[in-house]
Amino acid sequence: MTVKQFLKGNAFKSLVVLLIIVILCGGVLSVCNHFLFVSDEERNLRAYSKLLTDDSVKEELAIDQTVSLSDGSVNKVCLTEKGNYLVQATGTGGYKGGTVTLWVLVNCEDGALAGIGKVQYESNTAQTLMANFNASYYEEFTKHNDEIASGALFGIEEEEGVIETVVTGTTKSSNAIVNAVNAAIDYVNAAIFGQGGTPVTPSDSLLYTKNIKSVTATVSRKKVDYSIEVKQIGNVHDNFVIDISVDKDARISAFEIKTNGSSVVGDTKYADKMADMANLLVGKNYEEIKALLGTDAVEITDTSSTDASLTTGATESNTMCLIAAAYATGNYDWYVNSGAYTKNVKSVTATVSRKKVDYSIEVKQIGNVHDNFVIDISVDKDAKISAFEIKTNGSSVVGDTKYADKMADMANLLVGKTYEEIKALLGTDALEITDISSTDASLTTGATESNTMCLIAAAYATANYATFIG
Amino acid sequence: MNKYAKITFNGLIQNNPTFKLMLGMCATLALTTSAMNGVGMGLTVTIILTLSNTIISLLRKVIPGSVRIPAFVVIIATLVTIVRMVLDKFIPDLYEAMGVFLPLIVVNCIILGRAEAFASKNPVFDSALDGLATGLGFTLALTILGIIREFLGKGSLFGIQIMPFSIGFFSSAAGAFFVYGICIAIFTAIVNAVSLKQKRRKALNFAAPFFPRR
Repeated sequence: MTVKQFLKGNAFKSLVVLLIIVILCGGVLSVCNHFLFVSDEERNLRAYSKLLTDDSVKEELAIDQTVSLSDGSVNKVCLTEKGNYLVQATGTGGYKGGTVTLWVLVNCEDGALAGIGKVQYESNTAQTLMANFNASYYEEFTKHNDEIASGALFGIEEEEGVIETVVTGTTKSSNAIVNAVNAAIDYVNAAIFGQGGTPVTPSDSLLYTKNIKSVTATVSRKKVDYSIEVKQIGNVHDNFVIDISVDKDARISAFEIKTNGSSVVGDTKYADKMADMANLLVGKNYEEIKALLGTDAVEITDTSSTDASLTTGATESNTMCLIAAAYATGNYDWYVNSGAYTKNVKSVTATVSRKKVDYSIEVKQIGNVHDNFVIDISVDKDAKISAFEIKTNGSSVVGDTKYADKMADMANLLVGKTYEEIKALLGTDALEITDISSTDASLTTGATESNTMCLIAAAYATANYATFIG
Repeated sequence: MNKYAKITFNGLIQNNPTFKLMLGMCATLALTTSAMNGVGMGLTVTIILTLSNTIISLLRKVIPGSVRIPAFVVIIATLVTIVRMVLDKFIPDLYEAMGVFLPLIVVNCIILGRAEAFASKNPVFDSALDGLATGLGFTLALTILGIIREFLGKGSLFGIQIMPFSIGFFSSAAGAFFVYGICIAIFTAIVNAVSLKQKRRKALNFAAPFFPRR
């Protein structure tokens, strides 16, 4: 076939016609795009107008990167004309480790957070059942403003201080939604009103550890629930076990003596004098408690400086209560912000016995891992792991052994290792693990994310060992 | 029945794309969780179908047969993209509600099917009418499905709450198949009944001269 024949043939004609159609269509689309393009600014204005029916955005604020949020992040913050804050927040912990992004209108009055004005869904990653959340679900967040203003947060579990907001069957997605709303609340509290959330300089060691026998601490967002066993001092009959909650403003919100060691059981001589301690300590922060202790020492052996007017006749028992309260408030920032890997850890039970620390650590789920891990770890006096046992294996659903079986060797791998050796397996110096790519992939092929969670628990136990020992 | 009435009847009832030909089922099942979504999707497809049929009919003598399918796809894709831009600009709520199914109209069997089967062989006006009728048939079907599923699944109609309770099943994918199946059964029963009645009438008319009244 010659060139002339090709140019006269049907194939060439077809090519030319198709090419012309494509060029014409391209031209039409270019013109349409010029007139119909929707800019990011216009999209934001649309979102704002949906949320702000009788208000408007005054200015977009820069994100305060120093604010640390435990289960979410903030992408955009705007101040409205009425002095409220419009926050676009992303909550983690959704189905398959996905996220949910929401717009949250945070109402403010008299320089304080007053509640939630509106919650509007924006987008998600990996959440397949978002259609289950209708408008009335999002409205529920606006019906608890008194509780929110007094420091409560939303949650998916029924517990004190938590407003339950779970949709059965989509618990994980509910969790991500709740985390997004809480992230917005936490951010406004921390960045705008300066309450909690602000990182502190990590302390070299925990305060009052020499007076404490064991501590169970559960960190939930910015709230820490402690169960503290205080060592007996002076003439007090036995150790005290005291449950204390410290809220996001670093003040005691609950104080309950679970085991009263002031005197033998049945002898009410001193026990009765302890009843008022809760009333005395709830609402106090570390500085106020330290003033009652009357000393700056972080190990209390002498009770003479304790405010004797507290409960006359039971000064030593009072001091033990004050030590527990001082531990809870004085170490609050460490538990929330400063301890190595605390952002990856949901709760910790640590029992210190001489130079040995026995931990029960709940590690937060990362990536595609099904659920949190609960791992018991013992660290001996040489700061090496002496025991490692996975109590709750979150690698996959119950009965699915696909990944669960791959965890069996983690104990053999980690027992005997120091912090530096575990850090080498993690492959990073970061004290918060969000990226698992640096983890030694040869550990147990196919379960790298679950392996990383085990390594985080081991790293927490060994890295913070010296701090717990004091 | 004249030519235009027949084209209209075919598009709406006789060759209804949803209840009769069962085309474009992905969007049908996924988007009919609410009546408004059904109306929106249906009208969007109607506009694209009418325009694509018109343009393809106009170009039917220019486009060589060997490249007709790619040419149709380019034209349909262009129209879908334009409609997408218009919706994003002026009706963003509908644009968001349609989500991924809006760009997927490009590969909707109904549009390519009518282009190939009708528009590429018929004059412009007939093709435009065919596109409009088929699109309205699709809209009708999606609206019916949307109304049933929204009423039962959410207790509302066009976003207005009517019932204090709802049956979540009808909002799910399984509920979509269930309602779709029931609707097809009812539609087929009605069409068959009407068709049978017409056949009987024709038969009687045909037989009338042989059995004169006394």
